[in-house]
Amino acid sequence: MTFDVIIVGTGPAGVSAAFPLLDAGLKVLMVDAGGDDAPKPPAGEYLSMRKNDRAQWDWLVGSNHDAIRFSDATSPKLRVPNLAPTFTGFNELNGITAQGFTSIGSLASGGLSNAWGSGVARFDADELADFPILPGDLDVGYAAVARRIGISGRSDDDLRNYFGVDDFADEPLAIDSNCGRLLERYRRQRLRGTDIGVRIGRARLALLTQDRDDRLGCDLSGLCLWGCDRRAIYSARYDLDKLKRHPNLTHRTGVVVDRLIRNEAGWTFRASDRAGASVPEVIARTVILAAGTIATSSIALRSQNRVNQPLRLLSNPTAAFVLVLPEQLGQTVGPGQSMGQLVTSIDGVSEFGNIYCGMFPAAYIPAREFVARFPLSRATALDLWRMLMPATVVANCFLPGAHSDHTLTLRPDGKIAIRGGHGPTLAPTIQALKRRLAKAFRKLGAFIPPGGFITGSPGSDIHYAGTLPMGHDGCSGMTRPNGEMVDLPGVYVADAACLPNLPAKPHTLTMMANAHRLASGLAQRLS
Amino acid sequence: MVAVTGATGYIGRAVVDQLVRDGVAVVALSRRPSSTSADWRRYDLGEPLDSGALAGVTAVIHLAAETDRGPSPDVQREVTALERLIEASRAQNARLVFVSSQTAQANAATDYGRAKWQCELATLQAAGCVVRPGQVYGGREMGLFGTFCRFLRISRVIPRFVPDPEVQPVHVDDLARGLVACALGPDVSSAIYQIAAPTPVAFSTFLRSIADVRFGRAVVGAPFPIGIIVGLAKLPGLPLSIKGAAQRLDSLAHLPPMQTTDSLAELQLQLRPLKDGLSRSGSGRRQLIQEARTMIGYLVRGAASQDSVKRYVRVIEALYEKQPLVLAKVFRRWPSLLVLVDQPLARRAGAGADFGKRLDLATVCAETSIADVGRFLVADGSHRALGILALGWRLGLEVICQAFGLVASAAFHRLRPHLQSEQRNA
Repeated sequence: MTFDVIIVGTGPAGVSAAFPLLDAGLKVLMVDAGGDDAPKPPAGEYLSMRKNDRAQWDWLVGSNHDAIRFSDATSPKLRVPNLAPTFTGFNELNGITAQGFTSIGSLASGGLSNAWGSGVARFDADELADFPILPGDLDVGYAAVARRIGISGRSDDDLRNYFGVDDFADEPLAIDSNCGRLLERYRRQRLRGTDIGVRIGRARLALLTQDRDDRLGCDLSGLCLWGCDRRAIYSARYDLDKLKRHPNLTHRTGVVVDRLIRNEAGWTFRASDRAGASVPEVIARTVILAAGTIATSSIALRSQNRVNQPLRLLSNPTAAFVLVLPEQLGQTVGPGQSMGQLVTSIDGVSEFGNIYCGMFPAAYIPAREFVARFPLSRATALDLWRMLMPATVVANCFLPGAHSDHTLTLRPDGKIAIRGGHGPTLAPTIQALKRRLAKAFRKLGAFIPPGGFITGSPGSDIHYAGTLPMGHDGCSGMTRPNGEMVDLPGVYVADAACLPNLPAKPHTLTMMANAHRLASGLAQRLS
Repeated sequence: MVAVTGATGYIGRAVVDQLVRDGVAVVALSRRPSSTSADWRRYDLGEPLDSGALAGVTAVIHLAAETDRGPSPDVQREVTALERLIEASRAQNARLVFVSSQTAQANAATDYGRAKWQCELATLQAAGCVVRPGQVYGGREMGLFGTFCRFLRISRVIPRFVPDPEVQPVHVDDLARGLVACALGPDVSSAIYQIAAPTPVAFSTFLRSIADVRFGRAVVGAPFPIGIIVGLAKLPGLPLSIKGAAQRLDSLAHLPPMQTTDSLAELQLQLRPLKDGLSRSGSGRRQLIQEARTMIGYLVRGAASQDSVKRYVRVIEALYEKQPLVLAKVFRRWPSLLVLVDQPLARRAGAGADFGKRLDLATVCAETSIADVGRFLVADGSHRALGILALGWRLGLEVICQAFGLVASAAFHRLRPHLQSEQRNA
């Protein structure tokens, strides 16, 4: 079968590239490796289900005991039964081995967006400085994507310009009581003219607050982590459903692409079918790689047979901490949403730029994620956590990707080896961050308890980027400003692999806007 | 097709099961029909073989023996029965596997031993295989093993014979695999195969292990000098059965150990360790339930809910090879005392990783059970002051317990819950 464009991957980058192409009347094939067999997400309200649902094991732990089997995984997301098909088999089927690095990817329709924390932001001029484009070049993409996916969190706060998306954002949902207190105290400090060393504002999220097409607005079910039955949190799967209604789109699932092959007629690929079915012969003038940074890089390297030449791989080093508001100890917790409520932005700690902390309530996360870390016997840890949980805010910090020092290499045996590492300044930066945060939040009446600040392991952020960066000079191993790979003419990179840098701020919206930009350009040239 | 005589007996059933598992057609030769999926043909040790009893058979495993033998079994009866089988199997060109005894010797102390010796000779002359099993145990509570189990179920006292005879245990399923290997193995030569653990254990240890693993109880050994018993049994006027028992006891005490390594290697047989073999699935499950109750009970500071116990057991069965944690009795009795060995300092030192995993599992099980939700969520914030006070009290106790645990950590180390396999490696 012949297509104008083959898009490998149906995650946020793939679907963002598909819309402009289809709008231009092009014939598009989208392939992903499947994973629509996710168990149904729970329906109801988290806390009342925790009290009354006899079958809560099914969605909290899973009939395959996912939550127990993946006990060692760093992120609670990796234990969620509803997300199991999103993560399953990625490293095995892509032939990836990682050392000192947590490699996580998705073969599923919708890709990693199925497990997205849904933070959105626009890169500012500084953050786009390394991009071989004009700062305004992404504007159309930002607007198109933001309107399509639906975002909320607009707020006249200190982070309004930092996020830069309020033109497209709805009002935020009601804030939970702990984060509300922190924000209120922060505002009072600001009114007094005090700089506490961090900036705090509402989180901007790809989260619907009102019904829209076949997606429903958030009803504060608190089930965000376990799968949103209302589809309020964006997933590229919802866009894929829309795309599939388009007559010019063909969607093939279950296909793991190994490499691209060029012949006289254009590009085709070598792939295997997860169910063992035969993969039909397809051909296209153009291919867009949007399989996620690691898979896209693997396919690109294999297609060139570029062996033993390490690619630089960026990711955001992470830290996490808990904050306790003592006056909230032992309070009753009410329904709420467990996505980010607040964002704390820290400047002047990392030499590579701003640090981003998403903050959310601890109440909608199981105790098991916390109590194992307590320096107490487990029974007492449970006593303590029961009282502490209503008073606790959890925060995930992302540091600039420039701190990371990972490589991704194709080995002669066809396997991909990832080696994790970080620059010498990361450890002192994290220490400085810890001090800065502890000091700032103390001024807001919140405390980081002993042992309440931990450093994440390399790669566990699942923010991977920069292996095939866009650049002006067009040298080998890079992509051109229009997204085309220098070494593989006709092959474009639409996911985060083509980002030249990785700031701490959420990069997904920028990646999608860029996919929109390069696909729009491509659509013009092809049609 | 393999014929098995004595197919309804202790070893016979295990052999039939093994053959069925291997997908081999079985003819069960016994007096009563066998309940398994085998094809049954009537067979009585004392009677001539029905013609066609071995029709289509490629090997015969001969297990049938007089079980209710007195002091002097009808030696000739057993030998005659074997000769009939030899003849019939020769007509079929079927391989014969004869299950003998460790006591088989030309000059054995008992008639039984001498009868087995004669049978062994006849088998070898007919180019058959002879198997001498050690002390068979495990599986169904039948045969001598069944006698031991029944005894240990009621008695907390076991005889500790002086001198303590040694036995070489072999699990009934391992023995069955060995017998099937003899019957069907392509390169198995006509010889005597000794199938038992290469290293003997004291008979009293063997009984103790059954009591411990199977019934979860400790037993006391009462000294029982064999010399005196044998001497007393020689007194006139005692019933023959008692004299026979004493004689067998005496022969047991004087058995030379079997060299089994070569046989096991030739049959490519690996025997399971005694502890593994003794825990039957049922008792393993009971042990897991007890573990679940203890661990979850400790966490919820009360009785574990049925739901959470069920889930705990299911996960261990699905993910952790059904391995129970070895929990000291004191913890099973008073789960809250687990606080003494649940020390974060010890945890950080890497001790009790398996215990830690089970604690995590117990946490998840308790957390997902609506019966225990109050342990995790504050239902009513109006009793806050009371809650904070109670927490203060718990934290105070924790400090004391941790200090105590620190001081007596060496003593508690022995009590720290661990896996059975961990103990073996240690």
